[in-house]
Amino acid sequence: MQTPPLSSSLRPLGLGLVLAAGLGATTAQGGDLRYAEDQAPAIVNPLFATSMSEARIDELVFEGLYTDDKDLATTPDLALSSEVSADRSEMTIHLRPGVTWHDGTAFSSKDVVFTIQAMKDGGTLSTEKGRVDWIDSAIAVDDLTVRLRFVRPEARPEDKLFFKILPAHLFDGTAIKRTDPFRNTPVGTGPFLLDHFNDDGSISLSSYPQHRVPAGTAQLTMREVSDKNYQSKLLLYESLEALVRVIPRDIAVLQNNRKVELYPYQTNSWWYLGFNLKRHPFDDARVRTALAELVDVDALLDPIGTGETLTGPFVKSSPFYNHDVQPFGVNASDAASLLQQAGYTKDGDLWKKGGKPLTVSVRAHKNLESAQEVVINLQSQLQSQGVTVNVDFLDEAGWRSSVWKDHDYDVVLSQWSFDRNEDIREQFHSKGSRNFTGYANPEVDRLLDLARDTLDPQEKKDALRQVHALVHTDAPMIFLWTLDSYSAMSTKVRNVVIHPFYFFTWVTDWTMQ
Amino acid sequence: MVLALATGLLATGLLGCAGSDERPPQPATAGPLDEGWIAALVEQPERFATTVDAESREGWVAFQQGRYQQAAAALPPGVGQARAWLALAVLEEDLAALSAIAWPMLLTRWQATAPAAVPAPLSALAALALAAAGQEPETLADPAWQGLVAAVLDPSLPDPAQVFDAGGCLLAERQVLAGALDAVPDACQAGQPLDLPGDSRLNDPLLHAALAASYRARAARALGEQDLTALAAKPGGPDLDLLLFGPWWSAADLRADLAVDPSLDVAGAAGPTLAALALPAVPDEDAPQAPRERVRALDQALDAWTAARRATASPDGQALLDELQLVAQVRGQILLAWSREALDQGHPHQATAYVLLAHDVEHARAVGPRNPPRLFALAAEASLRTGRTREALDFMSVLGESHPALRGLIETVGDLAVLEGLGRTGDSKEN
Repeated sequence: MQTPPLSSSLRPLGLGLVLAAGLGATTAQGGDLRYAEDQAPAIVNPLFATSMSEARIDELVFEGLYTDDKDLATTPDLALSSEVSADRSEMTIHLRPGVTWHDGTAFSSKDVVFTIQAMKDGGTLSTEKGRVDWIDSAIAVDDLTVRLRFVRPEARPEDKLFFKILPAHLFDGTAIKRTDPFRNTPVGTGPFLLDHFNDDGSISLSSYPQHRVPAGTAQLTMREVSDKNYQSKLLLYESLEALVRVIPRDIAVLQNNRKVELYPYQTNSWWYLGFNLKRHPFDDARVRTALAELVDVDALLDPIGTGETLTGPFVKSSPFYNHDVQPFGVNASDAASLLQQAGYTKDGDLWKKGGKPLTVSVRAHKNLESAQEVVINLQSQLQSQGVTVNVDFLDEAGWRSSVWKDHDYDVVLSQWSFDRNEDIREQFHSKGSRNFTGYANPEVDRLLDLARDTLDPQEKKDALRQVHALVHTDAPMIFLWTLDSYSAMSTKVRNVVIHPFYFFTWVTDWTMQ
Repeated sequence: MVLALATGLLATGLLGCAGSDERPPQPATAGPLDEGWIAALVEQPERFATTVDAESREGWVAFQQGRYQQAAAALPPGVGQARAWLALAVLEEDLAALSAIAWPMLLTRWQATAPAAVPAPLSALAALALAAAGQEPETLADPAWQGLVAAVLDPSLPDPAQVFDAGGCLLAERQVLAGALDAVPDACQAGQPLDLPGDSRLNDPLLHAALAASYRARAARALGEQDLTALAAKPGGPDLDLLLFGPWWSAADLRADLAVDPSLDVAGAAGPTLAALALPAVPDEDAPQAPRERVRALDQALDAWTAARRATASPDGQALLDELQLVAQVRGQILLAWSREALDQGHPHQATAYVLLAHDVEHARAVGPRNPPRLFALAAEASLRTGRTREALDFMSVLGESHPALRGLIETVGDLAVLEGLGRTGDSKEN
């Protein structure tokens, strides 16, 4: 079961009526495409989407003003057209007419204005806030026209208008809580509407008959299957049609099966061990660096598959990766020296300070693939070097509460995935909305600001390569690796093109044989 | 691993069976795939050892693994060495085509994003990349730079190096392109930025075209008086070294390719064997499904043939099929040829489908027998032409590990990827 428990709920009555009536809709061609996620979305509300599984289901249910076409060029979605003022400080957006929400209500400019205001509202504790902070104001000119005023001139504002639009009529105000009932009864304008959260943790969706692009599949089912090996078996036994991510060790068997096709789904993801910099002794860079020098990253990676180890917050093929930064490597003597500088002494087999052993509590999400293997190996490595390690695997509710809300951890094992912009600002800027480690370095802030504002690609590249070096030295995280990442799809699913980040962007083209 | 397998085969099983009279039974019915060098090798596996040992086992192993420089160095002048140089030439031509796409895209995007900040030489360098790939440069080159572009490409004009490139790489490369110099200097192959006026770091747009020209010339020298077409038409069939590890199922396929295009840059894409398989046609539409169906039909034929052959082959014949993955290797090269063809026809989504189906993702980040260097160049071009600039870098970075000359183009495509992200608000999620 996913947590927090999402009650088995029927969609709002209005949705049922829309479906029952049909309303002259174009019907989908048929078929049920069943796909597996390691972890079911904990919430279906794009304002609070923090995981990739949530981003993927949001892509099915909701739409933005703009989206990517298949050549990844920005193209209107809920927008029809737009004009930008000569001084680039304002944009007038004409909305697509005839769009309806899944409950039958007409989509209008009020929804766009509401969404922007909700994201900006201080009472909405959303990590998406940064996606609208460049918008100074949003005004509904008429039902199908919105005018945006920018904080400063914008060269290509449409490139920033991908965030999903919410239905104003289903909220009481713009300060939206994560616990708002909308998470259980999401209503979007996207090609699929959410039918049920089922008791077995699966989610049923059906194609929205009123959508302007009829979907090639009548139904979609998201199944939560936390055991990756079992996912592959389900695909091979034709109990699933798609796996979002295949673990590296299953790639060979799936590649050699002629009923399966693999698609690269490299989401610029990297694994890390993140320190709580607000908690002693992890506020001391010497302790963090010492721990980094006691971890054999290659040995941690080896049992879980093929990938590349990293020295910073980008994957190696990134233009921002700084190839001059050398990995810490295993260096017990240097680690010992750093720990001694930080006041620790070796007492028997243990490092101690003031009589207390150096103890690290490592927390990981229980649905992070191979996390148990990694954490147990990490525990073994550090304990053999005199560091006591306690491990804890958290469910979604525990993760959100302990890590994000209460910051109750020493070290977390987790993974970040980035779209093609590889924008690490929210993770490493002292004011970043995803900076839960508490990292703050004024020079990194300056460089991240520069990278955000410059129009010179080489200046941006240089700035972020410097950030890579600084973040490596400061070690708020131990950067681990990026894994080879592929999706697997039954050959019964045709016309598949996967979006490199959101996966389902062109799902309406997919058909079932 | 494959080196070990191949070495093991050569050292033990295959050498041991040389001269054996034992022959596996023939399949009951003959099909189009029964006429070919793999079929012949499975029947007479000792021919493999005889062929590779006649020249250089080390060289042939390197050739099979896509380490063409080492192959060319290890193989003596002749057909094998010429094929290694030709493989390098084709790879560099693919990279020159990628360069000819990347540079104008960089210029156009930079002009659209920050016109005042476009480095002065960029339009000329973009024009050079186009010209080196045989495309029309005039529309791109800034009038102020057109004379220099012409001068770089035409060695009869005055030396432009003093103004254009104090390091002299462009000058050397124009000499290679004109056939006046044998090789691109090593210093120009290190992926360093050109020595240009101003602060911007821009790389060498002529490098891959010049390398291709140089490798083609070396291939010709390795062949000496021999002619590929004549060798392929040899009575009794060509020698195995002309076909081994190549993209042709049969000698007839090679002859057909040479008749159409002696440059062999889409070698394996068509031929009598593929024609006899009657694979589904791919419509003139840039969509991935039809190519996938075509590949499935090919796989069906190859799988059936391989299973039948394995059942009747001697242990050594089976070892050749399984350990050296000969069928998978030819299949991959056919798919890459289709990919090149699709790119040339303006169908990058089709090309993407072919190249992804060719990619052995079990060893995704390594050049090897099933992932020849060309795969990464074609995947990068297809990615770039479908807007996936960031994904192009994934493929290029793999090739860059073994191909230092690519580092400059990686920086160029990296600049493009960064430009495309300027002003965007990125998205990130956990897990």
